[in-house]
Amino acid sequence: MNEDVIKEFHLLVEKAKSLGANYADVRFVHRTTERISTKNSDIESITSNDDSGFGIRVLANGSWGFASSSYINKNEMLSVLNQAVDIAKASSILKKNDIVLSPVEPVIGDYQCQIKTDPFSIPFKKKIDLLIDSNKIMKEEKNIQIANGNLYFLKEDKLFISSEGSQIRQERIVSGGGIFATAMENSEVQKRSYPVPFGGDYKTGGYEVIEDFSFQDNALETAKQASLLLKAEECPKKITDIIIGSVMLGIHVHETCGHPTELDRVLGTETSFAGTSFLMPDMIGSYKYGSDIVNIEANATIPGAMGSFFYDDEGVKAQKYLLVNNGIFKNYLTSRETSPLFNQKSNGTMRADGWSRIPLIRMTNINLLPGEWDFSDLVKDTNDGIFMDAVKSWSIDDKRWNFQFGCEIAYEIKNGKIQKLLKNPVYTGNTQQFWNSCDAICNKEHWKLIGIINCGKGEPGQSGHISHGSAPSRFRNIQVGVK
Amino acid sequence: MVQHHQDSEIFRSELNKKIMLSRDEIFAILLKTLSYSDGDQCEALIISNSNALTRYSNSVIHQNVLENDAGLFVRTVKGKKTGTAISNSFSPDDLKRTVKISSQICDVSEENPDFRSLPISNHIMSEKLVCEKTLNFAPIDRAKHIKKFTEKADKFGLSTAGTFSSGLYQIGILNSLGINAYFETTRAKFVAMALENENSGYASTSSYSVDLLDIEKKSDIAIKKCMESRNPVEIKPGKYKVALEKQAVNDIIKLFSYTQFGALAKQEGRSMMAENIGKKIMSEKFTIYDDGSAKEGLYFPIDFEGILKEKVVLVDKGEAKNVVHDSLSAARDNVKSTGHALPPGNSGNPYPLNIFLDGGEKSENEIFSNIEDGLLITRFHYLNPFLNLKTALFTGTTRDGTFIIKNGKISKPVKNLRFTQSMIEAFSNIEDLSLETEIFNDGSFFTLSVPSMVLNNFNFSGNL
Repeated sequence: MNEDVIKEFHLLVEKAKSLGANYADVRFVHRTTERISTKNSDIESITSNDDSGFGIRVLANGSWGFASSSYINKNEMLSVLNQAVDIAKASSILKKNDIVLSPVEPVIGDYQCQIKTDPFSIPFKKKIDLLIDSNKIMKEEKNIQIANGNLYFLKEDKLFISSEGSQIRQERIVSGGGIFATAMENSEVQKRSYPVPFGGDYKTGGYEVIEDFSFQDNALETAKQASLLLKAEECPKKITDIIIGSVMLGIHVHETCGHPTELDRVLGTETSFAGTSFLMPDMIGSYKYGSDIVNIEANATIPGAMGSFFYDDEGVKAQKYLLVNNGIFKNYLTSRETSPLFNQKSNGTMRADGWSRIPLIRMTNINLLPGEWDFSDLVKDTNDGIFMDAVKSWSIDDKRWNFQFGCEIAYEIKNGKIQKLLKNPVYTGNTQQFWNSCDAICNKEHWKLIGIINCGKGEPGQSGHISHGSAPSRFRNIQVGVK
Repeated sequence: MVQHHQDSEIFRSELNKKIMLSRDEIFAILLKTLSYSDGDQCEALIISNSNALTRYSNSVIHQNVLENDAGLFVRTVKGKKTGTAISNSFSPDDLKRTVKISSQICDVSEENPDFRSLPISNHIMSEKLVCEKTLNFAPIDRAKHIKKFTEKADKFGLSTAGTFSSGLYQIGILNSLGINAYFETTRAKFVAMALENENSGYASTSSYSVDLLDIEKKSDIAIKKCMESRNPVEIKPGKYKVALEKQAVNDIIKLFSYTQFGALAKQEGRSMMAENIGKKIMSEKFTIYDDGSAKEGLYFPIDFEGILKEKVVLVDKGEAKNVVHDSLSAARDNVKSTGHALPPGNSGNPYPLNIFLDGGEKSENEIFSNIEDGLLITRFHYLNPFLNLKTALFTGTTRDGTFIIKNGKISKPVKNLRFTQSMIEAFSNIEDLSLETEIFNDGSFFTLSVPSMVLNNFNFSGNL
């Protein structure tokens, strides 16, 4: 990073004070992305994107203002600063109390994520061939009409400078992707995804992430499952025990624990858009969120996970803590603005989607901690139930209470054995009942992290990078199928 | 270690001297971009925006932001190969670099047998739908309107939440085959929500002009709905006659259009349109079309390839008619593009962005007052259309104002419900549509004009 630019940003946050702000921070973000997608062995698109800009956040007259621009020169910086201060002053005509930030120690440092192979150094041809080979393998299976795949790579260089003396530069590389087989016969359409539906699986890391997926080795099985689903029986409508696999359960944790523990959401800042939360502040420490074996952590320190970082976008160090401990609701995800409500410091969750958006409370890596069961023992212990995995549809109410999830695939379990394949599985319920019905969680041998890059939140919309770890788990007496 | 290509030139050229680019500046960049191309054909597109959004909840403004950005999309064509590169940096060196990357991608790409050519044109198109007042609408202007709504709600003991956004969008497209198209438009949207305990009310208004926003009326509706929602009763899930207000119709039609009316979904057999063109699959009362040139909507006459948008009838009196095309999907079907391309780099599915659902002959008041026993729905939440794309099976919940209608009148509020319903089936069960329609815009390019709707046998699958 050019030292002149860094100096200019420091002058800018100092200048903010003279314009009436009592706090200011500036974030410069430069992102380079590469997307490759193939379909039925043809290249569908290859896109390279280079995006950079800066955003200035100020606290003036006790209210927030934020302005941003992709045009980087000295005059523009001053213009954007003035806009941010004007916006904050306009905000202050409708406030109840001045915003107070919890304290944070200033930090100066440069941080880089560790990778083995820079994915941007890998020739396009190798990446394209990987996807096309996988497409070809999937297309060999009967009834596969669409065999597609995609790869995504991101290089991010982020600089945070605050009027409190922090200067934090963080660089990371993200790699991810997936392959997808869509089988069709008559009017029936069934799809299977590997490793994760809706775009694939993502990690902080280099091209080694893609190699570890072993797309070609998994392509045939993915296609076979999609094809077999065409002939499968419809998942029945009944109340039964279900075992949910890690790919689906990660999304379930996301929707029913991740979002409802975001304290900005709890306090109402998403009310008119995504909604609020059923987890009220007076429930901390006593609310029986789940059964005694349910432990859910927020952990921004896991190497390679999508919700890991060194410092959040307010300059607060990455942390690890329990949201749910032995079934009891323990903590929210907080920020410098919201944590004073509990006389605490921020637990470091504020992240923004690029330079043009403000930081919001975002999930880090929200994980259901492993239990003690071996998967085969868990199946043996289930007399009558259904195993299901891989999200196909998802919907949850504005308090994060009532949910309905559809999965790509399911199997009947009878007398302790996996039996026939079932299609179109859907399960529904409410969050507390669901997590309190959890009586078995598989052990760390079965625990798996999935990474997503498309968690939507906020207006203007932001996409968040998050991981979720979980192991297959059993839930008793769940409504399966739609009435 | 991430390399930073801009280290030596972070302070950019004169092209970066101000926040928004003029039309001439946009075309100067586009022209320069094309001049660097080594392709057989080349397309340069700039999408620029300056958007402000004020967000409020608990009767205070808690977020207030402004974004200024412009992105350049370069598509290089060599034979039947294409490559796309995107950048928001416009210095001469960066333009050269972006063109070079798109050319390199093109080189490593493989021939797409469906690709024929970039669009061809021999005339210049330049249009705008701009309100000067909206262009200059200041943060304090938005804050004052929000404060007025909040003070009114406070008199009834209610708190408020919502957004007020205003901004400018510009699109400029130049290609080596004569496409030269420009459009700029302002957008404004006010969202009002009134809250009290567990009850809430919602209303929104959008236009290209802040002067055309119905802020006072919508504020009053949100307050009224909130107060009428006090002490809701629980009802059993099951099939009900429903009166969908225009907001609720908008919520469904937006996702219905997204999943059903693009050419690619039909070509791949993924949508209800795949096997049903020419067949009557819904009620005769259901007619839906896309028309970006219609002055009565939020006019948006060109697509992101610079093609003039055509009116496309999607479903006519219940009969599946057409899907929308970009140049690639059109070539695949041997037809011409309807002008519905998205920016390059998307999944390749053209998409209708200016939807009109025809209304009926009676007023909303008349069609709702004919309901003897049913439910009135203000708005839906977290709709998901992916359960079964061929039957358009949706799930979601009601929110912010759900009521029992008895003998044509609202009798009492009900607790929110989850529905799971095929939309093909739902739109086969249309009892009536209102004469009045309302325009909804998501704050950017996507606009719908829809009436209210009465549907029979709408399936609610659970309580919340």
